[in-house]
Amino acid sequence: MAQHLLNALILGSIYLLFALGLTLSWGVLDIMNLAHGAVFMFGGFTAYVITDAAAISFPVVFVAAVVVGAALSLAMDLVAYRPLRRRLAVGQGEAGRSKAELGTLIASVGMASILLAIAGEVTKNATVGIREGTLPVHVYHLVGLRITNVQLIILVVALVGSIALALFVQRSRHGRALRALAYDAWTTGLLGASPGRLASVTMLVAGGFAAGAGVLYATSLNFVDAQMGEPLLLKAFAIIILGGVGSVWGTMAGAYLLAIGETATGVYVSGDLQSGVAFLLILVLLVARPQGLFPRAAWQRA
Amino acid sequence: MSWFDDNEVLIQSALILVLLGYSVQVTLRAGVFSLAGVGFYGIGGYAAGYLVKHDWPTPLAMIVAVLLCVPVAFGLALILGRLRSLYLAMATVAFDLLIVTVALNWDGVTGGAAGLYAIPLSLTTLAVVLIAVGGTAVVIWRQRGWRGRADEAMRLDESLARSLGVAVTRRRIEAFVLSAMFGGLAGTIDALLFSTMLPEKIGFSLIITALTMVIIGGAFSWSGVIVGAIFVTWLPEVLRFGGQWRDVVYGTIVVIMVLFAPDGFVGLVRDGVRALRGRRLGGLTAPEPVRGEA
Repeated sequence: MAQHLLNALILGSIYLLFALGLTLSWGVLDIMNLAHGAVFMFGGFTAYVITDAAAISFPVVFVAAVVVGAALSLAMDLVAYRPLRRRLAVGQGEAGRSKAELGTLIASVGMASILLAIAGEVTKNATVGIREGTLPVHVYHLVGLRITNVQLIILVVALVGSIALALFVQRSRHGRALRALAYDAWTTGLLGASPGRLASVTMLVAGGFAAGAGVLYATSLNFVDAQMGEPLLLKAFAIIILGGVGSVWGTMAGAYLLAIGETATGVYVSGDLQSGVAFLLILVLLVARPQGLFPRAAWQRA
Repeated sequence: MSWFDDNEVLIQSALILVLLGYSVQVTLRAGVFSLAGVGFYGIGGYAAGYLVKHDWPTPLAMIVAVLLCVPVAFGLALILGRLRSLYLAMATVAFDLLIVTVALNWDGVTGGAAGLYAIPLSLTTLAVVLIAVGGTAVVIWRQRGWRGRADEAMRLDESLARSLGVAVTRRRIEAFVLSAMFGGLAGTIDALLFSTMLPEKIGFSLIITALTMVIIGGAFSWSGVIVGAIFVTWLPEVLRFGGQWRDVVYGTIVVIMVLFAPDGFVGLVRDGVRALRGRRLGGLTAPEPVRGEA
């Protein structure tokens, strides 16, 4: 029982790191980034490429993957999403905004297919792993619970990362500017905060978190695959809707709730139905509470 | 005739996608961002496959399968009625993926992960062409005259449409049910033409294909759907010479299209024609098209 709960928390931590970036770019910039799963995959993929070439210690690999992910995410915004927002959304009212949202969605599909093709080409569409010994596995036994060092890192990174992000958004000047941007991009610009720079920060953070999650996930399961991001994308949507778009605390709660719900379904009901939990949750929640479970954030737009 | 033989499967796929595209477009035009058509594609496909395998005549099985979508769509429309834009899109995606989960687990009817196979072949390409033409006629009928203008008003400004006497809620539900029927129809044809129905046919990738097709072709005109269906079926074939880099080129073209032709191919052609006409009138340029207009 306790072991199942621990496993759910570890799974939830991966969900959390992944969903944070997605909820941020959606909440602040109206970007429904379907390439987010590809950025996650690129975290693991970068780790594979680096360790395939040379034996490098894990911290270096992790940082490299995060940097690559952040850069990719920023590049996507600069090349496609930002020009689209400028052209369609600024000053065009509600219809222009939804048109920009749709365009961004499709552009992100294109971006994802480019990244997937590159990774598929390099890995020859096979499942690969990270060089053995990059992070030697230790198993700890604590009060009857079994946890590996990778899983411990996942838990710590997710908790520290998301609390830091929550504090950044709520307390810092930059965070306040981000919330203003989510509320009204035009006025934020007039007040002297550069929407472009804030968008860059958002995309860098989003990409970094996703790629970090990717490299941790790949390390813990010793598994890198071009398609590994897509299932997470769907779960992340459930989490975001559960927590409310743009809310960091809500995302935390949503990620762990979904992971616990899935694990419980897998253990007590049937493993086959596990994947349906997220979708059922999305439907029920959207109908019952479209504003999310925690609609406290003032910069929310449901 | 040999070109036709070489490309028959592509033509059939394109025709099915045209119907699925109408399913997305009928709602999108009315300002309802629904992707539920893919779920109904599954319902229609499995229902028709199951019935034909149990010796029902093809036309009857198709009609029953499509009609089966109506009450489901009606119920879903009532439940999801409050949702707008991306939230509605997410809810409908969740509905689609729930259908996949059901398909994977309801072994007795759907065959589980293995799916339905060896469904007796009972449709010809000609029949599918005729169905697609009929579907196009329905879409054109809804796009012309006051119906089309009412839909457009609903999309651009809901409260304005309401104040002009458009029965917004009713038209929304109508659009949703019609969209479900198009999705279901596309699914029945897929099952009966290719004699299989599998869970992976109705997954996330079909949602993406349907959406890409509608946006790339042009979201607000039936001709855009046809152009988009041709784009997503033929381009990957044409790019095959590029080997593994095919998807890179495809993705790049999609991004470029969205960036430089936000109204799709149809919008591009329309703007081109306007520019040419303007030149012929002796330097007078056509008025800037209003952003957000079809």
